[in-house]
Amino acid sequence: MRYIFKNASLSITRNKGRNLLIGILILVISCAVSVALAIDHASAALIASYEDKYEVEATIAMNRENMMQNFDPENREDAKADMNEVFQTASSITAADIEAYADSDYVKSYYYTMNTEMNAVSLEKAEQSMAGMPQQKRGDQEFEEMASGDFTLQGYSSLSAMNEFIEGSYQIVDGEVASDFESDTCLLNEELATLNDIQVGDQITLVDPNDETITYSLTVSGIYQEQSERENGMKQFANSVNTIITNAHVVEQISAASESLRVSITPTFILTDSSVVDAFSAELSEKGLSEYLSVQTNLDQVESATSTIANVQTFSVTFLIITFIIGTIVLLIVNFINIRERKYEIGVLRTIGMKKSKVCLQFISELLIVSLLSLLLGAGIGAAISVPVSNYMLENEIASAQNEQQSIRDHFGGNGKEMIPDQGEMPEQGPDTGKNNFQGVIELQAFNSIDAVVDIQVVIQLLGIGLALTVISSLSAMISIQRFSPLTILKERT
Amino acid sequence: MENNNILTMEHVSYRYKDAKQNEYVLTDLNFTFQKGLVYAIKGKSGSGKTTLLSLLSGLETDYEGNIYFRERELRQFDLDRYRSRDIGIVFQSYNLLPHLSAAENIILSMNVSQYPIPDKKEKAVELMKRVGLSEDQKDRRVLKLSGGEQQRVAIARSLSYEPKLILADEPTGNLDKETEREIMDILVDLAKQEQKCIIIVTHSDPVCKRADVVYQL
Repeated sequence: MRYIFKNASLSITRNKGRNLLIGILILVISCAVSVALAIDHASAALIASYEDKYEVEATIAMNRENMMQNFDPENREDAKADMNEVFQTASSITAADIEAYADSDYVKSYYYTMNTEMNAVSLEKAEQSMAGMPQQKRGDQEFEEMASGDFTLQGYSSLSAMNEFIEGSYQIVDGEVASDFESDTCLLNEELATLNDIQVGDQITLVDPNDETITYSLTVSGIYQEQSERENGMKQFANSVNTIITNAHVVEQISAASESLRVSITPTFILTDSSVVDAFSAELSEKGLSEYLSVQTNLDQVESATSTIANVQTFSVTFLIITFIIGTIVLLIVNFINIRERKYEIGVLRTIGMKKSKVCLQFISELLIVSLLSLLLGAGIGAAISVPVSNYMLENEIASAQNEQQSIRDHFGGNGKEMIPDQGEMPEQGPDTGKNNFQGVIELQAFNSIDAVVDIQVVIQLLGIGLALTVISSLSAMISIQRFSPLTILKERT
Repeated sequence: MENNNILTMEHVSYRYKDAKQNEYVLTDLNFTFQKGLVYAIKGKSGSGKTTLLSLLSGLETDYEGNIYFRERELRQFDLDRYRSRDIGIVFQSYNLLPHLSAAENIILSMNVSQYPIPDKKEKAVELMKRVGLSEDQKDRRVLKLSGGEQQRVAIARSLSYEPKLILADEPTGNLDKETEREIMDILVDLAKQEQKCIIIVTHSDPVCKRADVVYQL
């Protein structure tokens, strides 16, 4: 058997021209394949890393589709009453419900934010600093029929829930956040504190807007500032100016004392991975989640942010398939021509008694040796060129996304900077704020370079593809060897 | 009494697969070939000489009748092994591999036969000398050898695993008279000294004259 490989290597070294041609062909194919594989791997790793970094978050939100199905435009009064009922249902979710929902195999951790409207004794409400700009209403206030308070009381269940602080849009300028999440403490906006001359350590008394006999005292543990200053130095109206921040325990206590107080609760569940979203949603329905509420996730946001890379990945896979098909066809043709030229050799080997299988083995061995050398060389060259090629591809993607960004700005008139600031200027938004409507464009800056690396996995895949290519393209040789009659070949030559 | 028959043809007929019912190339051949003798099978072009050689070498088995090699029907043989171990074949156009040297062509044949040879290189040189080639020609590519030298290499190759039967298809067809005589000397010598059976398919009268037995097609 050893002589077959020796004969194959002799044939390669003594027929340099022929093997060089095949080698160059395989080299070109392997370069292309290794670049495509490297880009594919790097893209997949980037997407996985992004998905790891930005965990799959699920929240419970209104299912507008279901709500609108029950809306009867002919009977507006009834419809309004129905809608009110829906909001009652939505509002009726309690911290205990959240806890029950979170008791799931699909949930890694959870947190929630509770909001309500309160008045306060001897605390003057800060007025809007920008004239003509209506104060933002909370989602479910449109149907509020009860008296609303001057202040928004926002209670967080844990540090994880405090997205604004984590992302830096709120920042403590005095005092601190009480980390026990149980004490009767609160944080005031700097503007509100200044207006009312309140210091850290002072007490404020909250009053139920529907029943002034119900009060609740909180100690100010910190003063925070909303980071909303623009480049031009103009201070924008801070949404949070009349927001008093406390913990969820306090809001629960207040809510328990007052039946008339409307409390909205926004839970966030950190899911184990993106594949469990449907199962988690089904589980919540089983646990009694209203049909007007549904599970919403940040998957679209994650997908939007990774869409650029996903495009590059799709392109690389398509390129890989096309290269493989074209490579196979070209190699099949070259091998077919090659075998026709070597008919005489086949005839001689068969005449001296070499079995067809051994002749096949020798020819395939020759192709394998040439392929292997070319594949390894191709992997090396591919490793060198895959990084600039992939970054070049990404560069184009970023440029086209920037054009898209400019185009969106143009739609809004002016310079549109209020809605879509330049990259780098955009204050980071939490995944559940709903303010960031242009994630795909803005998040693009996260991927301005791909570390496309031809690692051992790529080399193994490349070898696998190369071997498959070699075997497929050897088919012409194998079929020819089976069909050739040695004596006919030798007679033709004579 | 010792049976000297190496190859026996009994009522052998052959027609091509696409030929008509009665269009036989070879009809009812009954030849016997013994060791130590040189046989010439003579015939004009198209008389079926090469076809007969393909039957005897096991390259074609679709014949009628029987061919026995040492009393065993050829169809029962592993014919690849039969060609690589039991018979040697010499062609008019030498049929050597051009990318190999003279010695490498001979050694390749030894390897294919899997015949136990302790030192193949030494044996190759010995065979080359046996057919009148010098040792310094062993590393020369066969295309750089003359026609006569190439035919000598082909004969040396056919002897490399010591077969008892040598089939030669017009072995001197491409050679001049002098070289033809030298090649025939080698073949006759192999029959007489080494008791090999030499079957030469030819249309050459000088070759037939050197043969012990001539069969006409």
